[in-house]
Amino acid sequence: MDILNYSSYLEDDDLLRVKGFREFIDKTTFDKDMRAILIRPSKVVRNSEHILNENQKLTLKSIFIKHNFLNDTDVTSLFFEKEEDFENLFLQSFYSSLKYSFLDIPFGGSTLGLILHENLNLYDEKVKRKLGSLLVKNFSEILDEQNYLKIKDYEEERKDSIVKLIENLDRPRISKRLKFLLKNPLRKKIVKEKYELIWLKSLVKYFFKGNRVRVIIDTINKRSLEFLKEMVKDEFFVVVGIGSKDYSYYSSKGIDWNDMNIIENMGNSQNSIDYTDLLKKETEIFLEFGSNYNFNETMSKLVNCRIFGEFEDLSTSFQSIKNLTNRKIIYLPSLLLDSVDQIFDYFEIIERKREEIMSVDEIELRFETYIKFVLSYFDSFLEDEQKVFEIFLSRAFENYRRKFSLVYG
Amino acid sequence: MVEEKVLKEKSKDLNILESFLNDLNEKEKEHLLNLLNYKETYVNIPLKGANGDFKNITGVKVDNFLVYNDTFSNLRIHPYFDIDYFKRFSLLNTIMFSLFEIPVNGSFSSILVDPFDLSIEEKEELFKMFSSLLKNEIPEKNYFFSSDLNSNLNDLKIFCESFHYEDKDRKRMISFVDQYSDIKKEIDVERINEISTYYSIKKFCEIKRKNFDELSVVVYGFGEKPCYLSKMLRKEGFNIVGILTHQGSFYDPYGIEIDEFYKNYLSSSPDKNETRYKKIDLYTFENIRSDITIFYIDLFKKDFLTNINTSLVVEGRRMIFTDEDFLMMKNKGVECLPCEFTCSGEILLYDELRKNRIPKKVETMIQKEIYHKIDQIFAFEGEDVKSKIIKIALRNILENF
Repeated sequence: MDILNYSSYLEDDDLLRVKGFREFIDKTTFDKDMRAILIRPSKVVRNSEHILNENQKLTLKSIFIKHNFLNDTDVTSLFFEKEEDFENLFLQSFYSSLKYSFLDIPFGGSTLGLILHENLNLYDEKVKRKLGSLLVKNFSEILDEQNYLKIKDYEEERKDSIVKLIENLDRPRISKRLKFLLKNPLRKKIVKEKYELIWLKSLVKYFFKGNRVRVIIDTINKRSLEFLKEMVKDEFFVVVGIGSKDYSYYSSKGIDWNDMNIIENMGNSQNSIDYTDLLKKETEIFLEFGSNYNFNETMSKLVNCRIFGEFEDLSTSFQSIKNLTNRKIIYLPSLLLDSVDQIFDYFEIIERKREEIMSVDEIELRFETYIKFVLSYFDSFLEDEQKVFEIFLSRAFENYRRKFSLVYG
Repeated sequence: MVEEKVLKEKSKDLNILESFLNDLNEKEKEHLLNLLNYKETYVNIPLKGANGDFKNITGVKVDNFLVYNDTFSNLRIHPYFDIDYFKRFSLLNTIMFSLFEIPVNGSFSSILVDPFDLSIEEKEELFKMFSSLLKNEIPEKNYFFSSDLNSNLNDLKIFCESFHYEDKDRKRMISFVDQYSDIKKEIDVERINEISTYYSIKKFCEIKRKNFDELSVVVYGFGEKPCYLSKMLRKEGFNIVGILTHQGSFYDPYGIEIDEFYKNYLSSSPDKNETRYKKIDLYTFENIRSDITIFYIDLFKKDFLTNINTSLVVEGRRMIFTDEDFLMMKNKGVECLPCEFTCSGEILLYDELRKNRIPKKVETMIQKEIYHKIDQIFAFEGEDVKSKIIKIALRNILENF
């Protein structure tokens, strides 16, 4: 039996193939049943719509994945994909659930992927109508008063078009509700990267006792550049290099505002460097911003750092993590570093429930509480610096065990 | 009894749709393309067994068309999974409703487990979990669940009541169960499709001007439903000469007495001394000459229809024959009564309930509707019954649009 081409769906033994989680989960005290419930989606909804384009039948699809029925509130992330990648969408919801669980936030993750064929234009009226129809069909899943919808930040251009699409839905009730779900006043008044930097700094300071740390950033994209801008302002971090496979930049004295323009335009300068050479440069922190297992096994053997920070989910293969551990490099997983978004989800829902806007002071105060919580948790339970990932998973899973016991006794 | 896994490839799309689209304008084409839209819902149900272990069971619901406010779904409990088969099943339901000019979306639901592996308590728990995971799906539309393999009215009652809706939403989950006490005085709802099968066969024979007393019938599959139908046919004068059961194939050219056969061969305490009916091997059985052959089980041999020696094939329940099977029968010159007629009893009764009506005589209502529809089919230009059914159904969808 092969449901949704997801080979690890049915056989209990196969379930643990999900991207190497097996090794980590075996170390916890989890029984087979609990593992099986956590590492499979509770609900999957697939929808299809067809349009005729010059007598050719084209299909638009959506896939909604709810990670777990044990949560009362789900936060749905909306993605656009060119091809259906069930496993990736499931893992996004799974990772999101784990982050909430680790931080004791009573939410679960779910994902809604809109799959648009390359030949389809998002601005075409017919396509817009069908996309609207797909949203309406998925609405019942995200309808619940408790639930919350967000669009991934990097989808800025598409985010605008989807917001317009929602505004123009021919079902006013659904349109109004979706618009409400998408409202995010909190995120509009803050710079997320600033808080991500505070989050990173606190964690790095826990492991590295020094006044300044050198940083290399892997992958040049919108998010890493925004992050770089925040880092340049901070005296603790000295970013010595940033690069992707096609362009790399290295400055031993540290990248400053003058370099930013060159990097954004990928311009040639004396600081341009071969990508492999950049990876080999000695640094305290190496930050990974790529996606889709961008950080591969070869790179994990090349990097010369003390701490490896993963900022994007699913950017590091499990073999690479093993290589880093063997080389005594501290691995900070995206599950931990990239969880600021999940904290803000919680704040936004609190705002919504209180029906008043949260002040920046309050946001900072609440945010600091989370930092203190993570550090004190490390103080109590982190016996080996290199086991951040394991300790994260065991706490996240243990919280699920409690929820599970409440339902099943 | 759980059936053997169906391994035959089922054709995926509604092929006839492609040729039908040519003469239509853009809006009509776009509307008909909705027939290819499906909503597939999969839920993972962790079920705690009596020994404390968990079984992970998957529930699947596939909705087709999704244009109308009402949806009709057959609920099956069976480990077999093939998403294309489920899609075809839901599409078939849409076509059936459309044939009778009823604006209802077709759907199909299945809990992927062998029901004989479950205790009664586990089964009840399973229904409750499945319904709670589907709860968000329902309030947007009116929903109706009916039985299919291994599920009965009692299962549906537990299933529908587990949704725990407020009164206003409760109305959206209507079922035969709600009106059961009113209807059961006249008719057994569990056997309602056998009534439609009976009248379909009767009307077909009347059109062909055949005398019932001269007609021999062979039945493939013999549970409670085929038994009920056979009794009705026997009473009318049809001669049941062959019955294939899970205990073997039986033949009597002078006619099998159904009550006696059921009692002696299939009941839990059979009288082993009774050997009146001859048990024959399958090869001989499939070569028996009959006027009518009724199928309640899937075809288990690929070349089965090429060997069969009959004039009329009746599809006793949904999804027994594929498009290729219908084509083979057409080439062989064998007439066919597809499930769009034989299983129309429950959809016709559902249509009445949907309109808040309970007919005074359910059987008469079904007979009238089927007779009218079969007359319409025979008056309609076209090659074979199945193609005519689809063409009329598509035309009705457009007229409704």
